[in-house]
Amino acid sequence: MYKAPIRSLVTAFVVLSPLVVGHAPSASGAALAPKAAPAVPAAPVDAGQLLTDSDRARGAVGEGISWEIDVQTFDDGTTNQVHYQVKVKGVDALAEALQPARNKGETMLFNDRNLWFFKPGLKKPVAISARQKLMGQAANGDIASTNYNRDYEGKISGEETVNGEACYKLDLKAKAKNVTYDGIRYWITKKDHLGWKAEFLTVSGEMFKSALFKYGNKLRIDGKELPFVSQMDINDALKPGSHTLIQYSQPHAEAHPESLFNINNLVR
Amino acid sequence: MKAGQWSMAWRNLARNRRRNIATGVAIGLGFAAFLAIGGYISQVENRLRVYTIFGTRVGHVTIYKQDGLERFSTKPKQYSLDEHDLAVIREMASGMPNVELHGPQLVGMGLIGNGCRSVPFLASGIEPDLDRKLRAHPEMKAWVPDIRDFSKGRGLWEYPESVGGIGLATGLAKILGKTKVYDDFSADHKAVVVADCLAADAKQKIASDSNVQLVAGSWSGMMAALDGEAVVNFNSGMTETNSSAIMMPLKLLQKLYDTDHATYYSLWLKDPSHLDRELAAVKSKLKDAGLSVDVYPWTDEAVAPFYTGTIQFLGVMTSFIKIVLASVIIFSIFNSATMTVIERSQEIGMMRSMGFTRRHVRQLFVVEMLLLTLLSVLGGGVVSFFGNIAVNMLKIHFNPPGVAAGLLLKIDPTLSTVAAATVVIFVLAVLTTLLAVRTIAKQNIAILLMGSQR
Amino acid sequence: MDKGLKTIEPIVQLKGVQKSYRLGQTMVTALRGIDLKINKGEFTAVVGASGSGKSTLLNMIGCIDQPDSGSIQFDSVEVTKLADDDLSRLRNRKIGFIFQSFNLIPVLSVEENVELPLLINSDINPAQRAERVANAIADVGLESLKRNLPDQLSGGQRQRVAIARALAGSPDLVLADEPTANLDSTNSHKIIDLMLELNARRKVTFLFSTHDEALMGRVSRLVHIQDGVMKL
Repeated sequence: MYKAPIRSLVTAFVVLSPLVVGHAPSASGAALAPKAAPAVPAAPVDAGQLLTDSDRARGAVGEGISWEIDVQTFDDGTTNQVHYQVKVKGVDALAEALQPARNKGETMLFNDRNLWFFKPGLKKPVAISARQKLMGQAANGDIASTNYNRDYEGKISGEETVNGEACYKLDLKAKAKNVTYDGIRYWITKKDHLGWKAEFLTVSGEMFKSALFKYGNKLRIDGKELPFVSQMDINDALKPGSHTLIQYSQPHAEAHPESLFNINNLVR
Repeated sequence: MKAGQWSMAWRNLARNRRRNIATGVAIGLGFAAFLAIGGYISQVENRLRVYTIFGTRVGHVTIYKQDGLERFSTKPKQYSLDEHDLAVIREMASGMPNVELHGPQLVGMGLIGNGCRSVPFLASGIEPDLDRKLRAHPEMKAWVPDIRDFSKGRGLWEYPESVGGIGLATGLAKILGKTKVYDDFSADHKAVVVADCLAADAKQKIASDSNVQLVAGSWSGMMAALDGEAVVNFNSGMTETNSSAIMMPLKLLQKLYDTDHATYYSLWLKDPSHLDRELAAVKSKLKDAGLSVDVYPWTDEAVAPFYTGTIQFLGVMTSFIKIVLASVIIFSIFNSATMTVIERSQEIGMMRSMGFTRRHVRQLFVVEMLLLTLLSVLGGGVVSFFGNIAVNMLKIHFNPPGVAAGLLLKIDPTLSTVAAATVVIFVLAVLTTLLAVRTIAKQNIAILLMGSQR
Repeated sequence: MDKGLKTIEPIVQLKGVQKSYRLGQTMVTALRGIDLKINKGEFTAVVGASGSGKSTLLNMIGCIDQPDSGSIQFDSVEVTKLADDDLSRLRNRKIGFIFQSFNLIPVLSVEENVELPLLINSDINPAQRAERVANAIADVGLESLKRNLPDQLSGGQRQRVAIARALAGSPDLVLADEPTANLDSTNSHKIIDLMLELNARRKVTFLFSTHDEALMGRVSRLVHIQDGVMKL
């Protein structure tokens, strides 16, 4: 078993050691999502508030909502595409693959920060890590709702214009080991408080991928219309040209029963 | 100057019994120490050799896709042996009379879960029947019984494919809380789903089946998962892999990664003494077949870094000890021979005047030292024999870095070690004596004779 | 002095032999041009004071040291030109040595000591060797002590062993450097008697050095040496 490829695998392990996942009680506890959000941001700006606002446009609204995503990978001339249905309520989320047929039924269940994978035929769900690669450049943690305010300690470090949008630049540091990234540089638009660009960092602070967001969707909730993410394009910093495109569609409010997010109901 | 020479040498030795005993003890203990080192090294060498070839299943010859050794882990699909490669290699191996066993293997990583937590695994996929044959090999029985024998359960080959039998390294089984194997449950035993992993009885529930899940990124870039049953626990032999190693049928691992490729293909030879020749034959045959592959001997650092590194390290370390030992022996003999020669200078003069040549004189002392060395080696051999028995009976366990289960200290010099140590000691004795006698043999006879007259 | 025409031929002939050696910081000239002829069958004593060059002269004749200049012919062979191994062979086959301090090997018995020079003589087989050893021991009258070790013998007996050893190889010349120096006068005379007897009976040529006045009268020829020069 001791072979060179294995050796590099071992090295990879060391790097990925936080992958060891277990389901301990979440430190953050209940949802922190606020009840309402200001249409026009109030000054002075607070990093936490910026994150809460931007998280909302990426699914963290606290209410039951649903949307669909298309995850498309472009890597070495090959592409892969999987279509998921995502259901979110508070800190729980469920992503189920609908297409292609070979992936149909594969499910990821987020209970707060704990993450389970299940597919038909397995006897038990598998505890996995949000950091683990789902496909292409997308980590498991990327496909459900975003809760950066819950998971990261944010600090405004400056203001920059990104793709013609004036943004606050935030430095995010992981609050716990089981979150998706160790650190993120996050640009949030000044005008609408939308996550505009992200650079994902390794534990040593080096960027290994980056993402650009688009907000072409609208989510109607409680009679209000909110901007909602329509695209996340994740670029590999180490392999130029390799990228993963997540396209969001049909965001809508939907009442989900609690049982939907119960792990016991995964195994049918 | 034949028979009489030995008897005279014997009696001359008795002239300075105390000094010669001291010299003899130094030679004898030096010899015993040489044997101990040699015995230890040959044990370690044999163990590591068999561990590498059979335990880690590198084989005597390992065939990778070209550049596969370096690049497999980043681009497995491109740098692995495909179905065609495997078929060609298998046909070639089947036709080689000196190939005893052969087969493809696949390695990979991922997460293994027990229903509550998941930890990284390093998987090795092998054809179960090949695993069975390797474990039945006399070399494994002789040198790595701890790796060969399972700590729990039966081999992969005992179970039909439908079971999804996999082997967990002992450390990994412990981490996963899988204290029992498949055989400990009835065949229709249902997997127990743990509803609440924080509940008091979660641990007990986890242990109440042998079911595990493997999750990994498939080679097509997707996340993949499959069910398995822990049918067997094994010792991977290495601390760094014993908490993560799993082995499974090649087909099952291929299914996980969604591939029909293999990482490498190994050949085990009946007679590995002409490794270079076999290697060249394999290379040329595969080249003729149009395959782009890299062929490695098991002694290559690239495929057996642990073996080559450890052996090199031990070699340097023991060379140092051997040099110290040899120095002690050389100085003892030189000192003793020099003193003897000086004491007997007049006697040498007398013998020279009676017609003994310089060569005769040198021979005289060499024969004496040979006799002393012979006696010392016999004595040292006896000391070594009983000493080694004593050491082996004490069953001293030691934990060399990286070896999971620790090793039993065993000193068992092989015949070649004994022969080598004997030759070394005798050569040292002869050369050192010649060095000590050199000057006096050339000395003017008249001056030698004056020795004590002045 | 001469024993007849048959034995008139010389066994050793020295011409202009010179020898110096270093003693501490000074060079000592031991021999200053020696011309000497020793004929076969002679019984010759070299006499002179201590340091006169007696021992050096015997060493030259015995081929165990080489002169700085001059010629030494042994049995018509120029020995100053011989290689070490040839000299060894010549000594073994043609010369017997008797030393002042006997120089017996303490771990060997009388018999074995006598046998020692024969062991390296490949011209004789074991049977001949045994016979020669027995004869030599008989010649010196030590048959009853042949299995004894040297330290079980008296001084006189030890020198007899040495004589037997010198004779065992049937040499043409026996050299004896102060053979009686370590013996009392009774034993000294006995040794000289023995040597004379062997000279007469076995026709062995003897050359020995001594400063014992009592022995000088008993030899057929006296060679005086003083400060490295022969005195007639």
